[in-house]
Amino acid sequence: MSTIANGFMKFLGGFMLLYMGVIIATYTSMLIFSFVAMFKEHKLDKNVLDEDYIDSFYSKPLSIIIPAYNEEVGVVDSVQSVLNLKYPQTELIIVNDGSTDQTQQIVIEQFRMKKIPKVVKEQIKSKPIIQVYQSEIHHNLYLIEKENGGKADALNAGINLAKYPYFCSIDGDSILDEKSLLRVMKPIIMSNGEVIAAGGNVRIANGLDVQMGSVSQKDLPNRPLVLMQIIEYTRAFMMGRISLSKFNLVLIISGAFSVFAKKWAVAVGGYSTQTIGEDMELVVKLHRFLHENKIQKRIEFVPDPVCWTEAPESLGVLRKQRRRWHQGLIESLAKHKKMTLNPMYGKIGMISFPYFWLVECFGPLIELGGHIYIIVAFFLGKVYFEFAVLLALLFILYGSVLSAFAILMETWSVNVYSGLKNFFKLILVSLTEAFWYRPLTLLWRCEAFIQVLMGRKSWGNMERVGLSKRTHRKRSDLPE
Amino acid sequence: MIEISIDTLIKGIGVLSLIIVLLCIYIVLNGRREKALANDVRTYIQNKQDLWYRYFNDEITLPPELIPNNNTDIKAIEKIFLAYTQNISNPTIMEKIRNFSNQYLRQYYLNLLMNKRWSLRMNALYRIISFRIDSLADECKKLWERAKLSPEERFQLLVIHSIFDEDGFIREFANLSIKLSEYEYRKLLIGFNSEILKKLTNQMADFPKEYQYYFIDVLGLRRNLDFLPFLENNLSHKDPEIRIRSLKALNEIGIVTDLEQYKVFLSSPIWEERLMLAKLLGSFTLDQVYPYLEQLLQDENWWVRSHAARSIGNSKDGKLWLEKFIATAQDQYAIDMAREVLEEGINQ
Repeated sequence: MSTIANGFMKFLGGFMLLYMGVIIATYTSMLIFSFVAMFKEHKLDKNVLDEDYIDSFYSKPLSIIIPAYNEEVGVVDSVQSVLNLKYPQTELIIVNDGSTDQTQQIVIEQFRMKKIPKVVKEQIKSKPIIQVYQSEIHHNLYLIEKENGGKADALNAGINLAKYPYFCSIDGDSILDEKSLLRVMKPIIMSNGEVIAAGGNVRIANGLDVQMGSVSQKDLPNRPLVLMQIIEYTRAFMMGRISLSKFNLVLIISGAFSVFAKKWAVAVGGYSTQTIGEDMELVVKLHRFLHENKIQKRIEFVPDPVCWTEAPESLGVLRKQRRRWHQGLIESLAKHKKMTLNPMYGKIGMISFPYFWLVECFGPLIELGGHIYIIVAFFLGKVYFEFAVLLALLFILYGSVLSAFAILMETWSVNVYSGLKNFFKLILVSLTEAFWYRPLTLLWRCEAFIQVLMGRKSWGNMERVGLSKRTHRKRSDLPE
Repeated sequence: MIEISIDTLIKGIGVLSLIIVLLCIYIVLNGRREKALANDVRTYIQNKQDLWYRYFNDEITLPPELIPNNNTDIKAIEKIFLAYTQNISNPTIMEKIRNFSNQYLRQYYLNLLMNKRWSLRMNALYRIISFRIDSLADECKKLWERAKLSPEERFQLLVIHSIFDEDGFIREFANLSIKLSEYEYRKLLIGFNSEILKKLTNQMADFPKEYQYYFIDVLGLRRNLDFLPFLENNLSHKDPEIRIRSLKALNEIGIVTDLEQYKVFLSSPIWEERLMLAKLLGSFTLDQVYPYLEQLLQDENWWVRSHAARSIGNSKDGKLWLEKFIATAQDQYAIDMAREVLEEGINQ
């Protein structure tokens, strides 16, 4: 082989090793930061605080917005579960985003909704509202009927109707733990308004028996694909977000369950209807706005409020979901690229953006390159063989060992999926991640780049389709 | 070089795997221990809760078997006490809990208070407050002197100080040495009875600005008529925020006497003042205030219009007035708002 090719392979190998080294160091430090944060609160009696918040005197009223597009199957259950939440003062706004099924009729009949001539102050532009309904049974329950405009547009219409200073967006098929709202509002209340948005922990409920917002104990499903996603969510939330939140570096809080101060969300124009990942986009816009106007505020992630959601069970659906999430990520980062390494945006510009570009956005490309390198190197003889082994070991360390640690930490601290059987199931499956799941997700995420290059226009349409497909609507996280 | 690295890496992964196995063993054992403890606590509660009930209700004197022998007993007693303190406000029971805790739980909480772990110290502080363990007041004071304290601990210690040394606390109140959030400040104030709050109204001018605002909010939430003169007095305050908060507090109390002193806000350049006025006018009969509400219903600000319409709609015969307004008015925005309230028919 020519010297040039030789040199190139060596350079590539060296680059991969360096990259993996940096990534592993980053994640290990995140794991340590998260552990320190969790250790501090371990054994703290949180019920005392819950009791305080229940008193409406201390709490701030909240509007809950549920966007729905063709949700006739799940909408009643999810509304019921929200109505059962422990929170002193709320209103619930279901936004029917031009559903073509029976969503609207079912809601109207079930909750005895009647038309009201509501004057809606349009603080954020949204597709026209056709009619507003109010329930005769629950006076704090509203239904907006509007023209189809996608999830972001539906949320914006909900924000326009919302009368309270905070709003919470919840996916139509997600179920919240009874105390979730109280706990997710805690940093907002305690910080004197310094925290303007907070996101909760999203967990997968496939196979668990979830009724009226509480999960009765059950064995986790046996499907490795679902187990692997459970591990992925756990790792992303337990180590990624906890440590990012500690330094106010959070760029994504889950669209499936998050609370925002309305004032600031309105100030940045609400959810963006032009991007796929409207949840990430809103958070980035908020950070940008705060820095450009030199306002000291925070966006936090709260580890214990749990929102249960259903994960895709087939490879095909999962593939679409991941591709879509990654498109959303690329798009948001590209849209705000001027924030990258720009000192004007403080830590967000100097740390979050480079991290998200390098690790979350281009990470899959580089890692996939690494996997191909390993395969090629095995055929190229001894010199590269060693590079390949080294790289493969780093992938195992990265994919499997770190995941196992995240599961250990989860069981030790919050222990959502209690029971020894579940614990061992998760630990064992997590050790296999590097060998099948990781390469698959890498491929899917790399496909997103192709989609981006193929043209953006089709996304707008997908947005509307996406709303109907439950699996498209939950963004977990990207630190993986 | 690379060979060595591979070797090291394999060893590294081996060590990490071993650590994972060890941690698994730890988690399994720890899980078992916690489960056993939870079971013991449950058994204690099942066996002794009737006895506790009878003791609290003066049916028996304190039987020796209720005196804790170990930490499991204490954990169970803690649960029983919390169930009482959080759900029942009976002074006799509270006094029994206080006495018992002072005598039998003091040492346990003292140990927790001195623990290295923040979460355990916090739990101890919570319990000292819930069970009113005043025999630990001095220890808490000593703790306050420590330089290294988390803001959360400092706040709990302040609450403890306010409970066990009310007079001393009031004296120092205007010059609190730590910065509190609105939530914390309110939580402190809500613990005081109205007499003390009344004393504090005299000191309000000395409070930092933000605390003055929170203080007024708390007075409103108390819904006590005694605060009316003080709040009304604030309506001419030079700080608009004080005026707005006072209007809001007066609205919370819901009783307004002298219409004249509110009229000035009709033409206020600050829309929040007009908004609060629109709400407040709802306390009067429409005969007295309709012209003012009609003016506010046509205000340039959406929120003012909205609340003026609701104040009319929620009054006696308000619907008739709104219908009359819709039939005669010119302002389309105001008409829409009136129509919304009219057809909604539900108090907001």
